[in-house]
Amino acid sequence: MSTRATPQRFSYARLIAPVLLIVFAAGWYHFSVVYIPQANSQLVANDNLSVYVPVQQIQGYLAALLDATYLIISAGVILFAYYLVKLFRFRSGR
Amino acid sequence: MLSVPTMLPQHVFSFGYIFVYAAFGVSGFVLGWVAQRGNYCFVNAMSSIFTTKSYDRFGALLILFGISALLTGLLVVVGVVPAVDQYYDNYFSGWYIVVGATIFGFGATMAGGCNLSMLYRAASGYVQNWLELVGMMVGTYIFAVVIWPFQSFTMANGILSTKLGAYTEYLPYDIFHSVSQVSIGITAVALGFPLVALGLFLQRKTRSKRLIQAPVVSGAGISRALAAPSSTGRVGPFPFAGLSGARLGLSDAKEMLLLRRPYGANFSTLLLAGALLLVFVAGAGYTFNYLVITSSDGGRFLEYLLMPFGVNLALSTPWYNDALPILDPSVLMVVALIVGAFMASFLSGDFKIRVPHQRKRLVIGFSGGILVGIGVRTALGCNVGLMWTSFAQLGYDGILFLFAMLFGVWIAIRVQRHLV
Repeated sequence: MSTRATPQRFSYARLIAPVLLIVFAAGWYHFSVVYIPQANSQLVANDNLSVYVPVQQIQGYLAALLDATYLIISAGVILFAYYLVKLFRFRSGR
Repeated sequence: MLSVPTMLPQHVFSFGYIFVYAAFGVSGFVLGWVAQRGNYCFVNAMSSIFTTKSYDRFGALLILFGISALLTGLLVVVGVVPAVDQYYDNYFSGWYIVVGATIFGFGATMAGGCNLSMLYRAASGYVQNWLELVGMMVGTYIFAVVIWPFQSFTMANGILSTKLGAYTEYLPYDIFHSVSQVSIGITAVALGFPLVALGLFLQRKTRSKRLIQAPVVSGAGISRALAAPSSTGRVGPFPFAGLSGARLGLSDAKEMLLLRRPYGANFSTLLLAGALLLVFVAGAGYTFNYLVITSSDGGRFLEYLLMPFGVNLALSTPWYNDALPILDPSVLMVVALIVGAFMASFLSGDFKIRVPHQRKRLVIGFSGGILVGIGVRTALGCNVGLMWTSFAQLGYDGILFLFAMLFGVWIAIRVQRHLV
């Protein structure tokens, strides 16, 4: 994967980065579900329809985002597992 | 009497918003991935004209604009995408594009990245670009409160500004007073071909110059030149070598697939044009911001950041409350762009948190970001959302933006020379 195939020491950033990716994906989805529809409803309540977004569009966004979140989390878990195995191998001197 | 073209957008696909958002997400991922692997930066492309006299990357930009115009025009001419979906969202044009693009060019050069490169570099660990992004949010807010009330007044009253947008800024309509397929085809060819030809010519000129300048003792310079990948901005054997992915050798393709080698400028250009075409077709009829947008989300992210604290800028803050929909497909595009760039940098081993040695670079990054925010909003879009998109929409705002941005970049280079 990397050009640095035989590192002298294991970089823990390789383990932390996938975790951050997973947290970012899950956090963004959670934010989108909770706050965007709420802010959109506030616009209707305040008679401001110029930046209001139809509900079908928000539902489409959340549905697409959910699929993307699953994909990103899966990729993050695979990367995390891959580098975890590398860490164990590195520690056992293989 | 002129007939008025329709203003009713039509769908190409009727799969609903989930499909549109998914397409924007895929396109964003591709943009992030490719831009990171190709180190694609509009500002670097322009600044290298003034610093190293290299037109290689700038030529790639012109090719990108030309190909985008030709391919979107072709899709309209053959009837895949209705013409209305190409001109519907052509923006107003006026003083603000020239002023905004100049400020943007200046700020982005100082900060060290255009809107596209800011995002992929931030995702690759460049702290200076994180600060540029934060500065852009601040700049957007300053624009919204200070500039937008005045600017929207001039736009509404036609003061140094057009008042309609859409087909009135559509070159086929401006030239032929028609949006027929023939007029669109002729315009796309007349706009696209010269851009591609000029881009190739500039690249050829740069590469020939380097070939001549390289040391030729024992033929070492020539062999080095021939060995160097043509698309890295160094030098190549033939001026056209980087244009086609088809010319890449199998080993080159393998190296790029395994992320051991960066993508060439022209190869990246083709992939970026493909990403634009995807959203051009998928978004037709659904969304008016159906091409590549990255700058609106600088403002939108500030809006989103404040939401958990109970602040909704869309309720009372100018611009946020009348010009920025609370959500649009570009949100998913930008998020996916960041993820794509992160994945590309992480998997290739490029990812690293990079803090500049000179702390003043952080201040310059933040200040430049503020100017970027002010500039892109004043211009009604950035180098991607306005300039590139406008070429693909066969509008003329992109041409204005291009020259004004070049001017801003030139000023910034001169200022930087004085600062160093």
